[in-house]
Amino acid sequence: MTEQNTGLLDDAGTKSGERILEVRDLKTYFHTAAGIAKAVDGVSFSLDRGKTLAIVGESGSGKSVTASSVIRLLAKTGKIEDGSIEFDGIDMVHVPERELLKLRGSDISMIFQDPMSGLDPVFKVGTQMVELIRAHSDLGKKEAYDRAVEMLRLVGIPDPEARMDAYPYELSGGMCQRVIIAMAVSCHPKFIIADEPTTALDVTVQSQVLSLLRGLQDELGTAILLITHNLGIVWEMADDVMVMYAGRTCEYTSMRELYSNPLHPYTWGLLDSMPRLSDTAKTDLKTIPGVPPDLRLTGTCCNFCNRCPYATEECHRRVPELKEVEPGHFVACLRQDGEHRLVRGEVNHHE
Amino acid sequence: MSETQAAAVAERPQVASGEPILSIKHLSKDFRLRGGKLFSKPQVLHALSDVSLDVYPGETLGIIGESGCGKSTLGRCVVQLHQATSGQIVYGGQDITKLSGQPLKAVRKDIQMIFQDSYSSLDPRYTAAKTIEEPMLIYRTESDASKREQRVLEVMREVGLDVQHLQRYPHEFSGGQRQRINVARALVLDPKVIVCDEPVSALDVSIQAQVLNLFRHLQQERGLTYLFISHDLSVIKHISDRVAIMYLGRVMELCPADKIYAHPLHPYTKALLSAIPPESPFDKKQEIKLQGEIPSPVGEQVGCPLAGRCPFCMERCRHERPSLEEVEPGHRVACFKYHDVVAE
Amino acid sequence: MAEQTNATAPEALSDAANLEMLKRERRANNVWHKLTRNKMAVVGLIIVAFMVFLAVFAPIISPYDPNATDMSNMFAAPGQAGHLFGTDSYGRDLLSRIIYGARISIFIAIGGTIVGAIIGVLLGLVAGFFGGAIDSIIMRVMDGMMAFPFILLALILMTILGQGTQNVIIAIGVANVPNFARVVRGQVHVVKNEEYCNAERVIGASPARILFKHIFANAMSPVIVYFTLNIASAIISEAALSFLGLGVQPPTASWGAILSEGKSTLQTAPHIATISGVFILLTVLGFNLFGDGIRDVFDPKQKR
Repeated sequence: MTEQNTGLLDDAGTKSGERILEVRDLKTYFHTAAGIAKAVDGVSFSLDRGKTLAIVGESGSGKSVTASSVIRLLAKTGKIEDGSIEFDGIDMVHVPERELLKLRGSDISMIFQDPMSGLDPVFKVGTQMVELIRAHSDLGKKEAYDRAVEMLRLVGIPDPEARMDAYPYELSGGMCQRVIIAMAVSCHPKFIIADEPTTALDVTVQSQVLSLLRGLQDELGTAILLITHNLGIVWEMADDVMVMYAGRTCEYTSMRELYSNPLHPYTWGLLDSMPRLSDTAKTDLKTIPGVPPDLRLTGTCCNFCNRCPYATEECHRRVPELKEVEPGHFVACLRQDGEHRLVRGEVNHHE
Repeated sequence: MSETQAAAVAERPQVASGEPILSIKHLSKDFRLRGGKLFSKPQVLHALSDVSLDVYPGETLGIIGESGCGKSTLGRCVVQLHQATSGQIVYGGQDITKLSGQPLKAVRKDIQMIFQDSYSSLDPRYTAAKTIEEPMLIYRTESDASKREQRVLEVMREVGLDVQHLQRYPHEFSGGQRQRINVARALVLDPKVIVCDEPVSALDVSIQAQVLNLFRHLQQERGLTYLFISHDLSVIKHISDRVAIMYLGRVMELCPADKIYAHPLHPYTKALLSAIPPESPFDKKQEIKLQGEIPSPVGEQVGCPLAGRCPFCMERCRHERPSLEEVEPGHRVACFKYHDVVAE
Repeated sequence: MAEQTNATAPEALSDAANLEMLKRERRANNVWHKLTRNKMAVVGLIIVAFMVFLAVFAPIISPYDPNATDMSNMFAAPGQAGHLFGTDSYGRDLLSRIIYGARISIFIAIGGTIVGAIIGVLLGLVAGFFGGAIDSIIMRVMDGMMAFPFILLALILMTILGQGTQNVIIAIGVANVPNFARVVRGQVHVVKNEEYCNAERVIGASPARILFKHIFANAMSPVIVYFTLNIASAIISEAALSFLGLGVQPPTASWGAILSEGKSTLQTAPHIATISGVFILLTVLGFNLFGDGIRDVFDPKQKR
């Protein structure tokens, strides 16, 4: 990869020691009987302490695989083929499994979409929390218990002492997700990976969980890697955003810049296809025609070119590099670099 | 959008009028739960309590609510997957909850359903063609195999699939395409009403937009009536003509779709709206918070279902149940706050 | 229409390339391909195929008449006097008896399993689909049958029915009914709650149509697995019954019967019991490996 591909990596972060995660040119492939699926195909990004990076994309874009690659929590068929992942000075690609286990849960925590999957159904909530805290600290039983209660209170669970004796099935989905968050922050991690943390929750619970996460982040200075498909959540939570499509980065910039000045045709499509509450006209939604490509076939052209209304012959032959088109704004589009510029909506969508 | 479509949109009534095609009257559905302990009394879960809604021909009635509010149960009662405990569902002049056998089968032809999970609602061992053909076999509408085949292809093209998809199995499609097969299966019998139970919730944004457009086009071309169930307010608002907001098995508010955003009345609707993630990073939300969690639908239900959580709760709300009253033309609310205003 | 394939899709993402991927996937998901990727299943399949080959072509392969006695040549050790596996107490060629025994043993095992499967699957389908009282009655009877040890149940049946190949098949079949019924009922419970069964009801399909056209086909994969594994245990059951003298009538050769005869001469002529025992063991192993392989093919949660 070229130097340009290092994204926001070269700003002040590295020097000031604020940088917590740095991923360069990550490639994670899945080896299946029917071929190699290039789930993540050359992705670079970085994250500073106390900041939130959102990775946005549709299913199959590689956003979840990127997150799992960071902590090497991949299915058996998946393999990190290339690239480097540096977390707080640790080489995550090569660190031994044992050290990795120690890191997960103490310095790095994970929150997944399904709250139930993160809790063991046969143990009480309290038992699981105490066990986790004790595994990653040298607290005694009593202190660990107190810490767990304190954490449950922190995430807004009423009557935490009573909840310590509850089994996961006795709690609602929202409650479970709070317990998971309490567990995730109980060891004061430096870094939380939240993979669609509120997708399974109702909107009212979602907004509570999100404001909770933000509050904890302010208080503890945790860095968050937020995986989501919901742009509304991005506007609410993120500092930086990376838009992924078919295993590659389309656009990588700050959240405000992405909102006010999106540059990649896919981002435009994504923004346009969302129904908006404030729209009054009963017209058709703009859509991106077609479906995402088979990940076994990508890598020889722009992955978006068969759905892109702006695609040219060149897009069919070349893979676009991620280039800094404007200061701090990286775009991977052959028609959207320093010299060439597209005008949004210049070419009408099909029909 | 073409001009004809624009005209069709304009023709659609903003406030429904005329005779309802489907009329839900005082519908209740209880589920009996076996007690946890031996000899303990079986408990009753009130999934739907006294729901009355009229659906007018050619309109889309959106049903929105959080999980457990009874919106799916309502949909399933309408297609007779659940037997209602009490109340009526009137279609074509007859109460379909009382029907069985051939008369029920005849009604089923007119009222179809599209499910949330596009994958599990298709038999994994049936190809797309076989799945779409099946309703014709059940109703024996076409005895000639080649004509059936032709009809399958016709419907598949109508929903945006083509010849190359005929012989594929469900797992060989993407989520959006699978949902198109579900739509095709529902359409092949030329139904009048389609109950859509969260049909786009499992789809990606760009695909969701495609499917939503498909629903709109089909409605315009075929004059379909939709009962569209979703938890996503922006989807509901986009697709619906009128919206019913449900909470704990009851309809809390019923109004034209535009009003739900511009002029919501019920405290629950307001709370729901304020919880939605912002449409831009510069939106500053005014959050209306409800206290605590959704109460259990199990056991005796007294007072307004929102009473324990509502910031405007009055003494009266705790033991008296507000009914769904019209407070403005075409806008009904189940809240004493507004009933009193009207009364005064 | 919203979906259009862009006419200008590049070669790499063209319809042809996608179709090729679909074909590859179909090939990779093909039952036979999946099965042959599992080495142990292939070993099992080879053993099973070999035994079935012996059984089918017994008259052609076997060097002697299995029932021809030769009093001058009793208890010949393996390899002696042109008898590869030696002879038994009547001087009958053991190799020929094993080959003909394969016929009887495998026939009884497969026949018994088929009988058990047919009855069990029907009962399981009915119990699982209709539920309620029908389910309770059928399953309590099944539980009652399961409370008996398998061999005891078969013994009782054999005593009632009397000896004979046909009756062994019936006994083994009936004794296996509860197992099949259980497997099928459990699976029907899973499948009938799948959304596509609801979808079928909405399009007006009759219960019979849903049961036989949809539930039946989708509930069958564990039955196929159980069927294969059950053949293995049926071989043992046949051997056990014959060993106890309740199986096929002498002089008909079956592996269990040969083993039973070899028992009394274990000290003087150990090869009789050993060789028949090894064949039983190998065949059971073969069906088990094969059955495990099939299970892996059908189980979506399989480890790779």
